[in-house]
Amino acid sequence: MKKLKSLLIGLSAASINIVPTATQIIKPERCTGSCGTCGFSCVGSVVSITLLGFIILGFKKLRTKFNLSISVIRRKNQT
Amino acid sequence: MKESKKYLIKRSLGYLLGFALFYSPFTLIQRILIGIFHLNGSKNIHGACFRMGVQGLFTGKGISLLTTTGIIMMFLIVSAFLIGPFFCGRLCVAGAISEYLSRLVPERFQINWQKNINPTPIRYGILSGFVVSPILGISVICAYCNYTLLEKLISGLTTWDLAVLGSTNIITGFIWLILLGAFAKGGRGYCSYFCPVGATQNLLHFVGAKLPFTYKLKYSKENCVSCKLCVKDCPMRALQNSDNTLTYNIHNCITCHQCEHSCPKKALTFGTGESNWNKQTSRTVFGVEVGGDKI
Repeated sequence: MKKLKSLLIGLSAASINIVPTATQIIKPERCTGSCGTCGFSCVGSVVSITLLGFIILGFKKLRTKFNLSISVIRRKNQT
Repeated sequence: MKESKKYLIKRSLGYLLGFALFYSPFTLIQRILIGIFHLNGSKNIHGACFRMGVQGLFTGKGISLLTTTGIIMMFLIVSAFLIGPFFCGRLCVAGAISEYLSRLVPERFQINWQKNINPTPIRYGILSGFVVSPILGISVICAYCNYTLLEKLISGLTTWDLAVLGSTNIITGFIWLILLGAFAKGGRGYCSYFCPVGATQNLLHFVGAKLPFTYKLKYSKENCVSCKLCVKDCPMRALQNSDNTLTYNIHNCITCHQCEHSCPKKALTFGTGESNWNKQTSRTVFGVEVGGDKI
């Protein structure tokens, strides 16, 4: 299951990297990164992965907090 | 002064050398290769770029080894296979800037990205996209690359061409230096998740580490006193402590030797032979957990 999860994450990252950069730029090494006429295609992958990371991180923190609070309530109820 | 601090300063000298070797206006390595050996290539970071070689290979142009790119690519491949990602750990200025920047920010404001989100599948996914895109006739553009951005920043700020501070560059710069740099534990979040050069070297290191004559991180359980200093000092967070188990992710290690110098009991060393990580623990497809030992 862990392997499958890793594989799916890897494939998603690969497609995230390919899809936004699906622009034919003839001389990519000449890109100055300052005009934005390509629709910021290359940073799409970096931005989306970072945003997803933030969401996952936030979700994990909330889950930990929620689980902790549930356990505190249970303990209180028991006592 | 602590040995780990001393080593941190010593390591910074390597990054300064890397700056002089690969970045314009110096680009010493390109100048030497072009000037003395009369090779073809450009005198900027693109002359040392790994992507150009990969793109050439997968678009049918092939790789000409007798160019600056070809020679540097061979150096990266051979060094990564034999001694690990030497370039990342000793010479890469782009990674070093965010790492050293993160040391200025108090730890309570920093996020441990690598502990919460496993970098291995993401970095190899990014690498796969990077390799596949030329086959599909797509260009992965340089603006998201922190190597290029650093060079653009230097040339832009020295010539007062402030256009470099706009558009895509500002997004890349913010993620590289702030979100995944200064406010990330270790400061090398960008390297961990997005750098295809690092990912390639780690893949080679993973294969090379299986052989007895290559250098790898070795662990001596007997000497370990569970101080967790190695976990705290690892810039890539390749060493993690989860449920009192020390885990080592070889796919995220840049062999900077910081852990070796942080360890007061020399439980972690680099050398040839067996790595001594506990073989009983799981090995996954992406080798997330190469080994684990209770601390």
